Amino acid sequence: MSTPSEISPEDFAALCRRLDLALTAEEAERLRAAYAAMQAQLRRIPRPETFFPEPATVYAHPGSKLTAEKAR
Amino acid sequence: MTALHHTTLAAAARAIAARELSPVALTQAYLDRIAAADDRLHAYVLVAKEAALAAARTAEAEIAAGKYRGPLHGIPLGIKDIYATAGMRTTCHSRVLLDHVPGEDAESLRGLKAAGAVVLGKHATHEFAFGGPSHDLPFPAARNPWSLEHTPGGSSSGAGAAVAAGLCAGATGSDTGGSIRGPAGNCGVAGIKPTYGLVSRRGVFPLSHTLDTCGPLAWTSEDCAHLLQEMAGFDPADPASVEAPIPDYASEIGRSVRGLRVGIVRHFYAGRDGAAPETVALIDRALSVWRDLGVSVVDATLPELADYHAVGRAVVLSEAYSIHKPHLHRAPELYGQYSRERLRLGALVTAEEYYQAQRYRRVLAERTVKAMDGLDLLVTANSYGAAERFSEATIFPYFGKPYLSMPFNLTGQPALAICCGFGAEGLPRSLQIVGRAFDDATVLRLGHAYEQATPWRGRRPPI
Repeated sequence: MSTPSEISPEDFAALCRRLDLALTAEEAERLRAAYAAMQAQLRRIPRPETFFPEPATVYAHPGSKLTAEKAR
Repeated sequence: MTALHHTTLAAAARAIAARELSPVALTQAYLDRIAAADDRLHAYVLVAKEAALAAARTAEAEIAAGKYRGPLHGIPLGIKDIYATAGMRTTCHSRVLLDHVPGEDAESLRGLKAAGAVVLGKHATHEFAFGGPSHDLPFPAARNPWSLEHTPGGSSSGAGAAVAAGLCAGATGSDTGGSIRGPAGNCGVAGIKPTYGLVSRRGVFPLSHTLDTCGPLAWTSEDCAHLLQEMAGFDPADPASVEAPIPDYASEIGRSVRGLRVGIVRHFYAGRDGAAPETVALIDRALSVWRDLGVSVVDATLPELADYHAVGRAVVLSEAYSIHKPHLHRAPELYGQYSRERLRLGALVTAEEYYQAQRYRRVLAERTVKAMDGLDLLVTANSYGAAERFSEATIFPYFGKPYLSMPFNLTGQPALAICCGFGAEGLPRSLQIVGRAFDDATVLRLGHAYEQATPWRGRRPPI
């Protein structure tokens, strides 16, 4: 089984079909390369060690006074 | 003597208030300038000549009758073409919306118009504030007035180009990952991404609901203060809007900066693979200017820039794809190549990756706020060097150097881009001033102090 960053053209084509992405061969190759780069980038994001950290959302201001007070 | 179209917004406002300048004459000066220069710049996708002159005549009559509304009364502006304009075509620079004519103005534009501003027309943008600079769109890409071979940055590309070249007194923009600050920096003007939640986004075409922020671009920080004054305000119809006090920004910027504490975030841009030495030196000189004005400057350390970039990229790509998916699948040929291919990349971000990005975004925001303990402001680079050439543009620009602007979209903090000098080739360089949430006034104050103490606002592009 290949890792996401090494996804084969065949597996990538299957993934794109599942997502209903209609691509030309050139587009598919560019997107596959970008996907590999994106996967590498996404691996930078650590997974929280507890269940609790909540996401930033549109309804909770990420830089709000409340956030600032919590940080202290 | 300064040409009328190169008068700052604040100076024009003072002249109009003193009845030394006619809004009609000022509007005509910008329309003449557009007619003379926009065939090369392509900053506008629509010029509303008759409507602008009619609005200017109304403003002039009101002022003559003693009904002066304030500093924006009779001031001609350009509006980014993702802002809904009632009765005026709003295309998002895309074939998808080529015939779209909204019935209502965007809420922040409504505020500008209520203050008496005159709308000159609609500014070019990257398609849907996302796909550009692309050459397969219904309108040409805006060009950089300092060098037509270089991009003005994006996505508020027309706004940056038009303000720098004197094709309007000010402009509206939107900033999801740097779309106000990028063009402001590349074009040598001022542009503020206000605190998330300060300016309503209602009626502005979304790219990423949890990051999109509307704000102004203008020649100076003072001009931006006047524009922000009328764009800001609580809007219960915008779920991100925050009911926060709105200070008098233009008065606040006149206060001394002595005693302000600034943290310089060098690790974002200095060192190997960072900004060009010329950019680093210009920022060092800016710090000296502020020190001479009584500002204390210390080093500040934030999380790694690449972490913010990775989180921001996951969020923007996912949310943009979610917004565009139905149209993109139904009629992909209506999108330009850059939008089409970038949006599809968002389909490949999993729900788990998106959600983890939003969780880690909160961690980054908290760490950023904590790093500002004891500080009023942060300063860092706004770009690594000069604007890129059109020939250097790529479909996926996300995997090179991390975006310097993205951290403050994620944290929601206000961030102002200002010109801090010019490179040897004559193109502008810029830095960012970042404040605490809802302290946009102090951000603008530090920018204004710098602009007053340096010669850069006296230099306009050669076009």
